[in-house]
Amino acid sequence: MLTLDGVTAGYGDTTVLWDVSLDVRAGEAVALLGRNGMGKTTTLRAIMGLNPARAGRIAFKGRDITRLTPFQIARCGIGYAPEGRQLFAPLTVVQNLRIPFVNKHPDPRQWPAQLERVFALFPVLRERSRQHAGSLSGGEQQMVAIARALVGGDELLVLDEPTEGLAPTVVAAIVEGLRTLKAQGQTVLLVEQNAHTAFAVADRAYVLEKGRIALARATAELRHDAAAVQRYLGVDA
Amino acid sequence: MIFVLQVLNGLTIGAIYILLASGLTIVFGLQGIVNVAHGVFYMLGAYLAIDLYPRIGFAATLVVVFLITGALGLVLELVGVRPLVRWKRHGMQVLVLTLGVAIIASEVTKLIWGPVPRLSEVPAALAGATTIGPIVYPTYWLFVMGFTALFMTLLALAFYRTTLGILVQSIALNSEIAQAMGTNAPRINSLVFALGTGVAGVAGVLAGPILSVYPTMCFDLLMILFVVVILGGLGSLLGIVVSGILIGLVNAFGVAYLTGTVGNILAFAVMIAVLIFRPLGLFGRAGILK
Repeated sequence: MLTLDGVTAGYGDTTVLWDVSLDVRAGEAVALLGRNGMGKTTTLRAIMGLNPARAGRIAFKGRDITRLTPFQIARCGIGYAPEGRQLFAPLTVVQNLRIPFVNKHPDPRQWPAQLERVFALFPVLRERSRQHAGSLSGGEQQMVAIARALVGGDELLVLDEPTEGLAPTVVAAIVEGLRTLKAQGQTVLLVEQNAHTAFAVADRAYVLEKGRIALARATAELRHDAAAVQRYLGVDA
Repeated sequence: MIFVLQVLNGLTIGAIYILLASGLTIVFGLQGIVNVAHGVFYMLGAYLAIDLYPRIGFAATLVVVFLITGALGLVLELVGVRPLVRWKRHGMQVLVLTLGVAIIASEVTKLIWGPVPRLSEVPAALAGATTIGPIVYPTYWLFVMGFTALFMTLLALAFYRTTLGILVQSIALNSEIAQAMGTNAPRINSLVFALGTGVAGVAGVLAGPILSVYPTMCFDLLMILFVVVILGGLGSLLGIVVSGILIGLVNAFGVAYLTGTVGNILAFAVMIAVLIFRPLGLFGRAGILK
């Protein structure tokens, strides 16, 4: 569904990502792991066209999207939940969700159904729907960010650290939501610092080390490889 | 009695400031650019009205001028502003580009319509005076206030209640993320820019019979417009309504009790005094300045 082939990207004069190749197949959940500053967020920003790839090729459903602008890429069917959530704080929860829906969803009549779908996933959002997004707790905001990446009817969900800075009980709710999505056949590309979250959701994982892919494994295998987990992720398996 | 009349004068002038400032402040909120040529569309509206009104009537003049100045604004945005914004040349380059456009437009206006100030007629249907209790006031001036009040109400509804308004807000809040959510920001930015210049043309039609029509009016008004927009807080709709009325009143009372020059000096003094205590203006928010 998504293929990166030799992608190089960065900020200004600095190159952060070197020759990164990875692929995500339909129905799969793939994690992109690595410690802080290894290029995980940059990879997602390159996919979304926010930091366009300087070399290499990015294809989505067989179509070359490397040179498209961010809104064109988003409209191809990629839902994005950026690092730090980045909600439109003064707008209500429903208004936040409305934006990708009107931009991307092919059928305007599906609006109530799409809302129901994300409320079923994260029930607390139903009560919060008329509140300003900025007034929500961190966990609720993260749920809105994931919901906002979903309501466009997107085929690929791209999530940047969905559990960052959240309390363990909230992390459990988010992980539960992601597992439900996965079970429904949603394709997911997930950036995580927390290896346990990634192992709970993803089928396969890539590990980024200093802007290069250092490892590509099935998570079932990787979680039992204590040496690799310790070396690349800095945590005990 | 004189006092009440000056309040009404201040509100009328303020109404014209508000119409003009609305486009300027929203465009700044969206793209972070200052369109120095904004006054050109206002001037063009005023001149076009002098020729159009006797032929096609007042209501049709408003519509035709809106379409012409809107279309010209769209051309300026697509040809001039958008390439600069795309190459991340927001600030000084757009300022100089639009300043150049304003200077050329002012000179061309002099060539076409001559350097002598022109007189614009009050539309026949709105001529005369209206009596409100003890006050007798020109009907047309009341119409201008009413027009602006209606326009700003509709604008606020569009901004806060419609889907397009929510998309516009999302771009103003965080253009990058709005686009990652599929929002076609360049297209919406162009549309808003054109609506703003269209409204500036309408403000020119309305202001013609109240203020004078001359080839450098696009610069004279621009300075006071910057005061209104900055005092209100860049990017804030409520801000320009409050500061437009405030500056209109300062201007009216300055002109009435002192002189026109003092009126202008007072307007700037008020702005400086407010900025010392509120650097972002009366209703400015840090976030929207991104």
